Amino acid sequence: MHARLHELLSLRDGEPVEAAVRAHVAGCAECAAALAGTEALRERLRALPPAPPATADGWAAVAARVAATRDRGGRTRRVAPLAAAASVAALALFAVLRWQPAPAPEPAASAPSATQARSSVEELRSRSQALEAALSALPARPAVVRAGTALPIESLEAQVQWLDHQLLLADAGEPAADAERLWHDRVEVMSSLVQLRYVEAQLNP
Amino acid sequence: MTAFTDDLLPAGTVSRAREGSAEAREAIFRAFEAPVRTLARRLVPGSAQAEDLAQDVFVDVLTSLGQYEGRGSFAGWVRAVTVRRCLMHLRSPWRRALRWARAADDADAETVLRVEPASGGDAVDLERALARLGDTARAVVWLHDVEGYTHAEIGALLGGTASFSKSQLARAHARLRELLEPEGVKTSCMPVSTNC
Repeated sequence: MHARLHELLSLRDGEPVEAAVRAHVAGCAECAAALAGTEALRERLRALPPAPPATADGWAAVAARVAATRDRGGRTRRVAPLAAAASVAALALFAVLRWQPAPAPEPAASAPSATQARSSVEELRSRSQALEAALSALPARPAVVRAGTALPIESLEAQVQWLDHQLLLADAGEPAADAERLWHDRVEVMSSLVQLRYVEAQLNP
Repeated sequence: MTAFTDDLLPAGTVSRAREGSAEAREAIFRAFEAPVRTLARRLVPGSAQAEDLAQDVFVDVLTSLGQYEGRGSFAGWVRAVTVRRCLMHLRSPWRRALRWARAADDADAETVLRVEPASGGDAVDLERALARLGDTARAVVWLHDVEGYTHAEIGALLGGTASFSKSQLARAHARLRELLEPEGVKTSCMPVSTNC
């Protein structure tokens, strides 16, 4: 009977191990090799290089946030219940969306009837409105934003604007299937936007 | 181990920072920027998230200097703040919801965010394998094998026991070995919890 992995790790770390296990490992080439493997893996982990230098000097952003935190004083405590409520709403919406995935656009070979397309557009439009409501429920964006979340958020907001423009054109006479595709895209982009804004709100209580 | 050491900081810097010296605060940031960023990137895959968390750590550290009582190493305190902040992120409802949703799409997708390895060669494989571990297993293997935390300390940090930490360490090693060994090159029979 070979030693178990957790027993080998205990042996490696000098923790108590049954004498029978210790004796077995001493006389078993396979277990000895596996023990050496756990040591080698630890050394490889320790030898990993540090993170590469930051692409931008982060001190200005940290200093600004520290100053803002001091100025804000007790404001965080007043905002916390709102943030918590928004969090619950966003997660609930997220779960609902998870169980009701957005329908993929129909392939060209099987064009949907106009009635089906209108029905799908209605459903997508109501989901888009629900996402707008979730977005509105989130706290206002922080005064000091971080590149990790700010850039993707701005990109998604620009995509929503572009889609809204396309939907205006679609309302002016584009085929229903095009409208369905645009609303599908809008739901996808809005969903990502709500998620990222939620992350931003979590990181800036 | 990520290089958290008080040697990085000129004597008296922490006291001056507590008294409000902007220069001393910046010195703390400069001294610990690299180790904090490195530790955050190891515990939280996804470089953008890790960078944001590193920034959060410095906000925590610089606004909570009064809580550092000066009895232990300041570097150790900064490291503990970093670990707590990262674990808090990993256990956040957002993070859990996202992982759950992605797991439903892809049973093997344990990493939900893009990982940008910091190194080259073999280290890239190891960084990628580390990023593919579950959040808890990754945190445990890094804190135990690299940072030198005990199982009791890790268990307390994760709201569990030393035994829980031990089982997560074994799971992490088994998974890393699977991910790092080429197909068909499996070494000895080494079950995590059953006999051969």
